[in-house]
Amino acid sequence: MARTLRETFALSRREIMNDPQFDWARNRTARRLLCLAYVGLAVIGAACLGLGTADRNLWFIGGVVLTLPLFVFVIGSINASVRGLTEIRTAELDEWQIARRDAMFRICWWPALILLSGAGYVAAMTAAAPGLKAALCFGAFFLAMYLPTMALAWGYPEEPEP
Amino acid sequence: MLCKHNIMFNRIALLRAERNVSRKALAEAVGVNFQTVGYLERGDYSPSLELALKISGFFDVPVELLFSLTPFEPLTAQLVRAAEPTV
Repeated sequence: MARTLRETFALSRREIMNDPQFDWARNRTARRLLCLAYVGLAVIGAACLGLGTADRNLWFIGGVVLTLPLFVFVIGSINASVRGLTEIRTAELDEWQIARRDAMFRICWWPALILLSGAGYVAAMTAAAPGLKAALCFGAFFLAMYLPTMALAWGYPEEPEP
Repeated sequence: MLCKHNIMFNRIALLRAERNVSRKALAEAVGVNFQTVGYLERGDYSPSLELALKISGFFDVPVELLFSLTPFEPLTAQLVRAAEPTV
C-alpha cells in the first residue's frame, strides 16, 4: 500500500526497518549483493575523489557527488535487510537481536580500527600523493563506518516464515 | 553433558503445531520477534532463562518439558513405548 511522506516520517525507526516493503532485501542473496554494492560504491567514490584531487578535475568530484544518493539507497536497504539491528535502540530489540548485534560489533572493532589507523598513517606520516591520501581516507572511512552492519548482513540467517 | 556448541534442544515447534499457534502469535505473547522464535525452533539460538520461562508459561508446561540440554526422544518412540502392553 502506498504511503505518503508525512505518514512515513510519523513511523518509528523500528516500524520502518520492519516494513514488509523491504522484504525484497531480506534474503541472503540480496543482502550479499547489497554489501558488494556498498563496497563497490566506496571504491568508486574513493577513486573519483582521488583522481579529482590529483588532477583538480571537477568531473571526478562530480562523480563523488553522484555516488552519494546511491550510498543513501544502499545503506537504507542494508539496514532494512537486517531490520535495523545496528541502529535501533537496544530497548526495542529482543535478546537474539541484541546478541547478534553485539557479536558483530565485537568482531568488527579491530578490523575497523586497523583500517582507519592504516589510512590515517598513510595520510599523516607518508609522502604519498595527495590524491592517494584522499582516496584512502574516503574509502577507509566509508568501509569502517559500515563494517558491522555489512558483516551482520553478510552472515544473517534466512528468516523463518511468520 | 552439554551437546555441541551449547545447543539447547526444544519442543517449541511441536507444541506450536499441536496448539495451532503461529510464530508471530507466540512471539507477540512472549515479547520477541517472530524470527527469534524461528531461530529457537531451528536450534540456532539458546534462549535466556527469562525467555525459556515465558515460553513454557505461554504453553503452560514445565520448562524441562520444553527445553533440554540433550536431544528429546522422538515422539513416535514414546508413543510405541506407551502402546506396549505392560506385563
